[in-house]
Amino acid sequence: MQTRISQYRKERKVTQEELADAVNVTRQTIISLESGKYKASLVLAHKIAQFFGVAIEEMFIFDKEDENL
Amino acid sequence: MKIRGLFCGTKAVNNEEYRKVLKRRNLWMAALSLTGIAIGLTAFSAFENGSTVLPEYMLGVYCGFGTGLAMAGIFLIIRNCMLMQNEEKLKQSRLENSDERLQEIGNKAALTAIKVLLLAVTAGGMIGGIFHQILIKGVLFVLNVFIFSYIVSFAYFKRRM
Repeated sequence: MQTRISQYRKERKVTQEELADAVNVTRQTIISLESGKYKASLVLAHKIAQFFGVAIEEMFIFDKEDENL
Repeated sequence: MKIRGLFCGTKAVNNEEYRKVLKRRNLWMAALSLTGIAIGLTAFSAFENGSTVLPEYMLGVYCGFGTGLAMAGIFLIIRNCMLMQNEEKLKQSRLENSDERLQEIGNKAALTAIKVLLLAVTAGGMIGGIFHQILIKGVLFVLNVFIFSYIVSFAYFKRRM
């Protein structure tokens, strides 16, 4: 799953560590989310979207082909 | 590489909540240590007095098991106490134990370990059973306990979710 976490983080000048602290995960999880290796749970996706003040679908790009839909 | 321990997951969202979790865990660890000490001491005194019909080998096993349990419990209590005195390390430990990605990795690793364990136990029982029948009986008991507990817990969680 593609995300815009990295893009928003750089725009707002937020470090991975700061974002990880804000949403209660490790920095490695943010790295995995940004690289698309890990799919966030609905709760974590909501927390991240809320942190940046955007809608979940704006932050996480749901690819129907990737999900076999 | 750091590996998150089994049964270490928590939903604590701040250090205060996590501190309470660690205090509760310490009580369990203390109970575990006391149980270990009781097992170890009983086996050791039985060995010293020669007042039991249990084989010497099994007394050694009980003694070692009790000592191991007690030492592990004491070690974890000390580690938790040290963690609770250092805010930065406490936060790091909390994040490692509450992080959803690490929890998912732990679940997948546990599932893989169960598959390997079942395979090894079954193969061991099938081959070992040729030489010692008790081995296959032990394996069948373990497999039955596993299947029964899986069915019961599946039904329980199906009701809850």
